[in-house]
Amino acid sequence: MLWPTLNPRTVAAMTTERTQGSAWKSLEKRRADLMKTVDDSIARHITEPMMKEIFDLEWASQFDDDRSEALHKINQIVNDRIEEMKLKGRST
Amino acid sequence: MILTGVRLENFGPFFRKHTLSLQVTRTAPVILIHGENMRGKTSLLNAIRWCLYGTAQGRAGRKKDAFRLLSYDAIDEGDFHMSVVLDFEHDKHEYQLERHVQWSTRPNSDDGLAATLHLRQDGHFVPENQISGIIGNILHRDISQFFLFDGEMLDEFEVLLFTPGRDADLVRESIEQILGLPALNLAVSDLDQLHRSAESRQLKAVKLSKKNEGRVAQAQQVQSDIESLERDLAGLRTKKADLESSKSELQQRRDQFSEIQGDVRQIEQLEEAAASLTGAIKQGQEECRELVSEAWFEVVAPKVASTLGELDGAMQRESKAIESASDARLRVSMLEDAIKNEVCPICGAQHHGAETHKLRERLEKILKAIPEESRAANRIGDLQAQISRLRPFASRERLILVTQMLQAVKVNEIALHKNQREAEAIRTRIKGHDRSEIKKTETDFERVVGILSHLNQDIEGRENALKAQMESLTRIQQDIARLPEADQRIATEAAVYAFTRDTFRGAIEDFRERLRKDVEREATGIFKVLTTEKHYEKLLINPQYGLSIVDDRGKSIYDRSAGAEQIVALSLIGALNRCATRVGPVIMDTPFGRLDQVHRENILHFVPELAPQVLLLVQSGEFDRKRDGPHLKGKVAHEYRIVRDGTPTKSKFEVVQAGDSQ
Repeated sequence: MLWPTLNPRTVAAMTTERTQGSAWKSLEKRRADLMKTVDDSIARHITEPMMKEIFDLEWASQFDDDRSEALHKINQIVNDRIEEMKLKGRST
Repeated sequence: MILTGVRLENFGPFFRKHTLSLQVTRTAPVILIHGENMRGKTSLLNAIRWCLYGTAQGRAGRKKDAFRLLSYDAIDEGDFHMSVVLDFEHDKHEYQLERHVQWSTRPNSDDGLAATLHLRQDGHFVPENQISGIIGNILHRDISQFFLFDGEMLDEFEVLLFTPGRDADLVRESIEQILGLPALNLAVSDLDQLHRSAESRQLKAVKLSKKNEGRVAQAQQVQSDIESLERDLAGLRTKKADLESSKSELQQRRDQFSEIQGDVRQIEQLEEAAASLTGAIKQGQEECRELVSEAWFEVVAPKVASTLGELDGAMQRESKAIESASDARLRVSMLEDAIKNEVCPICGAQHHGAETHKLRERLEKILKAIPEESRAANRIGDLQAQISRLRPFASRERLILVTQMLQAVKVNEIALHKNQREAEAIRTRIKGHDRSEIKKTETDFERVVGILSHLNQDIEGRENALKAQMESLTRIQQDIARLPEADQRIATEAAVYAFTRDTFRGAIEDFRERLRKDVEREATGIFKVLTTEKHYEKLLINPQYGLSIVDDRGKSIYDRSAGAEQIVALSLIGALNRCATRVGPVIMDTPFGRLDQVHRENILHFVPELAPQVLLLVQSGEFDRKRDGPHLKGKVAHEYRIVRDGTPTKSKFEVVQAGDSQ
């Protein structure tokens, strides 16, 4: 028996999450490498939570033929992040 | 996605309405459907596929027209309506998908077909334009082959992954699709689009200042060149995909012809040789005819040769006579001088009287014996003339040549006869096959391969040009972003998009590598449960997702039986389902076709763990209820049998009772 204590539905859900996790790990690794090449004024905007938000959005919409909603949401995520940094800059 | 029920109406052999419950439980995820050949197992699989995606598959995975799915009995009764209703659950919602088609007259094509599609979510109708998107999200068509598949094609599938070509690429793409790679690819294209939009806004901002017009124009020109190159590339890639698909179809046709391909080539060679032999025979006969017309007299050559011999003899005799006459005249002259001077011409001694008389007698004797020279000379002239006339007719050269040529013609005639007998035997073997079609397929295939080669060069050239233009644009845009008139907020936005896009792009290969490792690990786990060969250590994955068996000494096993191929393919399917981004029912048509009993038992133990719902469509040759049923004990939620309903064109479902032995 392969997973004697788990039922197939749980296994399927678990492995699906694992695949998504693999993709995120690849992305995180790449982000860490690229961060070394970008200047500080930009780097401070590109946080891990923002990347994760974009990744989760893309992962969830990978079978959507119409990309307009995904584009709108990414635009919002990036703009919110820039606004947040702007406010932070003013407050400090 | 879990299927809960299906209703078929006039679909394949299922005339009128037939309803089947497909409810499974967590502990009993298997639905077992028995059916002998030609009863409708594949039709049931096709009905589910057709309801979800609007297409059904024929042999070798080819698309089947809808009118070919309509029940013969319905057509005979003038009922040209066909439908499939599928009930399923997904993500805590209940769905009902209905697909109907109707023809106004007896159908012989899909022209004039009226189709309707309805989807209810928790009892509420979903707008028609959203149905395809929702179904795609639940179980996309492109990944459906890993859920709804024909067991007989399992080994072909594995072979395909080891054979480089468009088909292998398509399978690899589908595998990567089921594993989530589109998420990263789509992210790259979405972020690229947003980046370009930000750059365009930046250009507009700096263009407000007149001094930047030149730089903006330069950027716009490069942008326009990039768009043009991208359009060209998209067109070329579409063309390439079409050609790859044509190549693949032609390759399939070539494979169908492969058995007789050797015969066709041989018959072409034989026909070519026959034409050459016929030509040689004709030419030989023609030359013989010409020689015979010139050499007919050579049959009397022996007689002529004998006459010539006689004439030569006469010539020699006459020549000798002339020589003797000449000698005699010399002696006469000497004797006449000796008689006249009474002195011996040799010793110079005087002679007289009786001696002179003796000399006179000798002279007379010689004079009488001298032959008549002029007659001899005349005879020689006559003889020479005769010899000259006869000489040309004494040769047998032409006749010898004619004999040799006739022998060569004979040899060619025997070869032609043999050739024709061989050709006839091959023609009998390939009877019913259109040779011109085979030849055309071959020519078309070579033509497509040639065009593809040029196209690939063209694509490579444009890709390089595009890369150079992109780099150039990046430099210009970096310069523009540093201008005092540039909007710093837009510049930040563009830089964030570019960075995020590059991160996603750069992660793709790493993710691919992780996926391959995951699939390899899962497939190995499943394989070790399924295989009966305990010295098989693991499966090794290649970049195309083809799997090799490695034994406990670390050696790859290249000679795999059909059963082993099926086990490996099933391990891959199982691994893909475990690593997939979507969870769905696995429907296997004829899954145990090439397996021995122990492998079958192993698979039966494994099947309930393959997916949350597994539909097994089996025939008696591969599954015996009494023998194999106990291996699924407690795991089967429903068991049905597809049986004939009176006529060979009609089938129906029967519920199999627990006590049934068949």
